[in-house]
Amino acid sequence: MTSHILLQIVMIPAIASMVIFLTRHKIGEKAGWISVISLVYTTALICLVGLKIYGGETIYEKYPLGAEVSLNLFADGLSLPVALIINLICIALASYSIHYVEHRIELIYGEVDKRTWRIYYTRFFLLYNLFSTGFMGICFATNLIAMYFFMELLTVIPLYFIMAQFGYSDYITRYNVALMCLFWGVIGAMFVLIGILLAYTQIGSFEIAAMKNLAGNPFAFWVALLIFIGLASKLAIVPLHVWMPWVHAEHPTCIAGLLAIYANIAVYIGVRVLILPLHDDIKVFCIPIMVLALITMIYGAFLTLAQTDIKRFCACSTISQISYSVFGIGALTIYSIEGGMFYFLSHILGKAILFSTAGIVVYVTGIRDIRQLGGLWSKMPVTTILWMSCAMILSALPPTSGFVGKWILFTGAFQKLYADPIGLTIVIVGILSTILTLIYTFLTGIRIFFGSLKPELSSSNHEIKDPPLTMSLPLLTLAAIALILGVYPKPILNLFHSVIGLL
Amino acid sequence: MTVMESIRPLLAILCPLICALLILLFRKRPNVRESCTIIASIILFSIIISMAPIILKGNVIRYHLITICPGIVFSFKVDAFGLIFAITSSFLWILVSLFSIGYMRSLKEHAQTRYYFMFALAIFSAVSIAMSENLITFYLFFETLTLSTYWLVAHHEDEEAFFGGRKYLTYLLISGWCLFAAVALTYALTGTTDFVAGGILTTDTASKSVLMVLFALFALGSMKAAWMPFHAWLPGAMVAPAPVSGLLHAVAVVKAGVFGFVRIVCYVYGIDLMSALGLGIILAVVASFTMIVASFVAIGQDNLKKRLAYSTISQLSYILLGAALLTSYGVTGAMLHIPFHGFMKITLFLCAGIIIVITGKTEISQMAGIGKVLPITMIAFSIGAIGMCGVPPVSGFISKWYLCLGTLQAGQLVLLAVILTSSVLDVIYFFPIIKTVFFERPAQTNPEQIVRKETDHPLYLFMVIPVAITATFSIIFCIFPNTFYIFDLVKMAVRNLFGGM
Repeated sequence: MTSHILLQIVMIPAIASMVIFLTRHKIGEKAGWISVISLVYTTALICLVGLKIYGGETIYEKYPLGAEVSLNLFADGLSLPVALIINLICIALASYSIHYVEHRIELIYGEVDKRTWRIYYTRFFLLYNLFSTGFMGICFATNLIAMYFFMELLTVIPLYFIMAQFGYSDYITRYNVALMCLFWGVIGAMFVLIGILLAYTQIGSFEIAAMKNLAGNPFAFWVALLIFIGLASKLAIVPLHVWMPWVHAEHPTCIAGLLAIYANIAVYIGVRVLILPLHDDIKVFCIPIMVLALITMIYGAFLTLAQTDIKRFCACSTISQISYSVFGIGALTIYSIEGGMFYFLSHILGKAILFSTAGIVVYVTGIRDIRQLGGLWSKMPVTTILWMSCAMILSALPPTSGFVGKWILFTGAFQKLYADPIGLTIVIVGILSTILTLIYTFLTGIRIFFGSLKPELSSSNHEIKDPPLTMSLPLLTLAAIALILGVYPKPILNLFHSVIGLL
Repeated sequence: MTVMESIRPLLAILCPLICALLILLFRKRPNVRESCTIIASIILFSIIISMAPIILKGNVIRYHLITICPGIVFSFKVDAFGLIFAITSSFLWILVSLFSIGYMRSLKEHAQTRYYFMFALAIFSAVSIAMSENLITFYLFFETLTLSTYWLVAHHEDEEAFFGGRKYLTYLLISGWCLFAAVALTYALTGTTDFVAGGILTTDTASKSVLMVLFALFALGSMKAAWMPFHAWLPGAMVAPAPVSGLLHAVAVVKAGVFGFVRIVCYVYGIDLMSALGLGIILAVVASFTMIVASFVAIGQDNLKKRLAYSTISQLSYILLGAALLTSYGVTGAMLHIPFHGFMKITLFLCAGIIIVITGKTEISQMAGIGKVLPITMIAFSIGAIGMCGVPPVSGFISKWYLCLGTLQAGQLVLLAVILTSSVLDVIYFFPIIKTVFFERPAQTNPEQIVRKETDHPLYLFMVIPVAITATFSIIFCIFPNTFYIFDLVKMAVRNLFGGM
């Protein structure tokens, strides 16, 4: 079981998706469980790797594919926590999807015969598992081309196809938005690719470990600039944020949480590819990145406050939240990078819960407009608790993981910038702008769940009650994980520190 | 100074926390619920007062709760200054709980369980703030205090209450975020957030301008102290039930604010750094401005609770001024004014509550002659009012005396003049109330109207007796300032800060 352990982690979900595809007529509605089981297995493997890495080892597996390109996989203290949390979210959302996809198919395709239904249903899960492959690949790849490949894999296969087939709105809009997402994703990745190729002309290798040979090279600036532009479009930094609200609003809610990871994992790529090897060369980007991140934070937060559609609300909040991580890694101190990474984990946990809770509300009531919702507390207590807990995680209140992330991030930023009047102002404004998160998450939560029950809701023929356990339990588990990380973040911080602390 | 590891601080904060849970548990049985509150408050007070002799021997009690990551360390440390605040808030909790029973039941208020629950949480936060060892613990409980008192402010759940509550939250949450920024910056500069007598920041830590910015952040973070121009939340929060106003003004919220401010001035910045940076003068100017302007505004208020609110704003700045003087007498006065003002102000607010319950009157102009109907209440009110003006034999005299000595010690005659002017203004807005209630004839009343007296109903006694007790204590504190070890504790705290008086 432990031989080729990293390869297993990356490939097993893909193999499971093949299995689902080949046996789609036999397994039918069990496809979801196959997907969950494969992910549980890889998560267990990640935990095993984690134990080794916590003991001070690193794991390196070689799978050469050609002269320069390889599928070498490498796990250390930076990639492992990211992979672990992402995989946990994948499990939770897979379990959540089991019921949710039924509901989507019914809404989109109406009554279909059993055979067609099974094809649709299994199609979702075979695409879904590729998410895990893509994320794990990005986490563990050591080769830039392999990393690029996994980024493209995520954009092209699961995102495009799932959105096109299971998204909201009518057929035409759905495909349009899916195409737009594809376009943005590919262009962003293209910039990264150009950066990678430019680096290759200088260092003659695609390995990430070789990137440090670029240090001091005048081309380092251009490589970093290209890669940053590419990543910024993934991260939805203003002015490259246009795609985010559209795409998020269009997606079936069950994978919208993964979309937040898809956007936010670019933070990890940035740390891995640029910041760790080229720390001294990219100091010039420090202030520009932080300013852009600050603008995005505030702009995103106000955009969120203006939303009335519950799904767009979540999407806009992602724009603002990702920028906190970017802000942290932009400050380029050990503390702030660790804080940025930790905040990334906290954000994807919180966001997965937020999106899925919004999905539950839509699933149960069939209403997306926040203005028409109200007073669901008495009917849906578990959902309310979920919303409030993710509001706490996202607005970084103690004792959740967000608070630890925010604290480390901003102390790190202060350490670097306190002597510089502009820097000091940026950081202080950054901290003050985080209050906007508190306002929009709680305000919207109060609007949806408290007050008096709207007549439209009580008269509609849906029965309004908490969703089945397969939907709520995984989310509650995620909330519990965020709580544990908030009280006992030491293991993950130590793992991060073992890599980032070497700066 | 020896550091003792002891579990007492944990017991002290667990007491209101467990009480809060019991309140939820017994929500169907009001009598048991209220007994829980009373018993918990008495236990809390005994635990806290039991620490006083240990502290007075020169020890410090410490309890380390949890270390989450570098910088986020939750731990408690009881020193003399913290204990003063803890004693004040825990003792007043007993009386306010008794009063609440009378008030809430007489008015048949809704959601009483939530009220008592949030009240216990507010006390929990206040006691934790008093015993925090470092800024991060302090910050955490500052936030829980804001969130738990919000429900008390918005208790009536009508439009006015929600508006007041929203204003309250807006100011205090922004203030909380500023405090967070300040704490993070402090940690980034010094690598610690502990409160140390003499301060953790020095002139070498950072450039002067950074330290000034940091102080501005701390000051904004202490908006709970209601210094002008960031005071508007306090009169807005007057929509709350009277015991809550008492709690806000005398016990928990604003006192936590000034307590925090004094902590920051004396234990984070330190006296030397404050004077080196010239921050003392700036703070003194802000405090003087607040004292005078708030008093003038108070004169114009007809609503009794609003007038008391502005009086609080003015009185809190006495404490800030005392700290800003950076002299041993000034700090003594500031520290003494925290408990003494607490006792006097709570008397005044509870009296306002009694007037609302028994006569239903809120405006001062309607109160002509009610001294005959409510003699005990109005005598207690007069004692509180006299104390506010700093007239012996009420405890306000002692704290003001030390504040005046402090100004002389600092050689700031202008500030002495400010204190005296403000005291005169206190007289101007308090004495007309006393005159109205005792010496004016009530306007022609409808003979049919039933005039209720304060002894008419057993529930009224629940209100009148606590008021009589707080008023009595206001006098006792003047004659025996060492009741509850308060004077010794202040001397102890000042000795630690200045090295001998």
